[in-house]
Amino acid sequence: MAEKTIIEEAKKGKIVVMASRDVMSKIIPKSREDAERVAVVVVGEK
Amino acid sequence: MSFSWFVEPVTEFAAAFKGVFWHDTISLVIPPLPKPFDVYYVPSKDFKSLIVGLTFGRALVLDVATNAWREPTPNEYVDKLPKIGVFHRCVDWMDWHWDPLVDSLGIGGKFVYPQLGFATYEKPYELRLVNPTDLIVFMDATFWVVRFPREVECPIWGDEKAVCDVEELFWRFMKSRVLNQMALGRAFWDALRTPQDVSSFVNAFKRKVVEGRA
Repeated sequence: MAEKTIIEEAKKGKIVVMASRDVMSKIIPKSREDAERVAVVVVGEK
Repeated sequence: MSFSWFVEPVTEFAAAFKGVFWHDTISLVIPPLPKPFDVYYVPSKDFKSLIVGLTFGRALVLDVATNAWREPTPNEYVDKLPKIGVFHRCVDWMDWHWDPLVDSLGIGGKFVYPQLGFATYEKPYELRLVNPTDLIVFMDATFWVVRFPREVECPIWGDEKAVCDVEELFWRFMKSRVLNQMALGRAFWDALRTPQDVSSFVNAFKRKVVEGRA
């Protein structure tokens, strides 16, 4: 996700989470509703 | 930057029981949140993760007119950043409490925020993000972790082949350190009260500690 898109997602009210794929697999929203509030950006790909 | 104040016994335990040092780093862009956002940090099913520290990166604020990130102004720092942050807890180890984006918590990576608690698949680390302001903020955080197998050799219950839960063993290890120190302190105190000279003090202490006699 480009920097501009990250900002646009945040402006739409999304919580943008940036982490490696491994870390992202450990970050689990508590509910489906919470999951829908997140935009995910995978970083640090090998 | 210094590390957690309890790192010495943790290091001993980690070295003895195959702990693997680790960190997980996450960056967040947090918009205004009409209601809190609840999220778990869930370690793999195969391990138990002893979280020994957290570091928080500096908080930046989005200038929504220009889409440029900038440092918070003094007014934003005083009026708004104390209202943005995270509640968190680690069941059995750390109760719910509030971490706002303020400097005294080491925001900006100034120091490691001490933690001591096992997070597991069944008992994950819990976080609640809160932002009732009109700011869009960026922040990052790193969990400093020692990851253990769920079960490890259990050297203290008399059977070398036995295994035990690593969290239970850690608790016993820490308690034994304290009890050991208390026993030494008691022996020292008893020896100090009775002897008349240095040699009799040393002998009394030796009898008490080395030979295990009163």
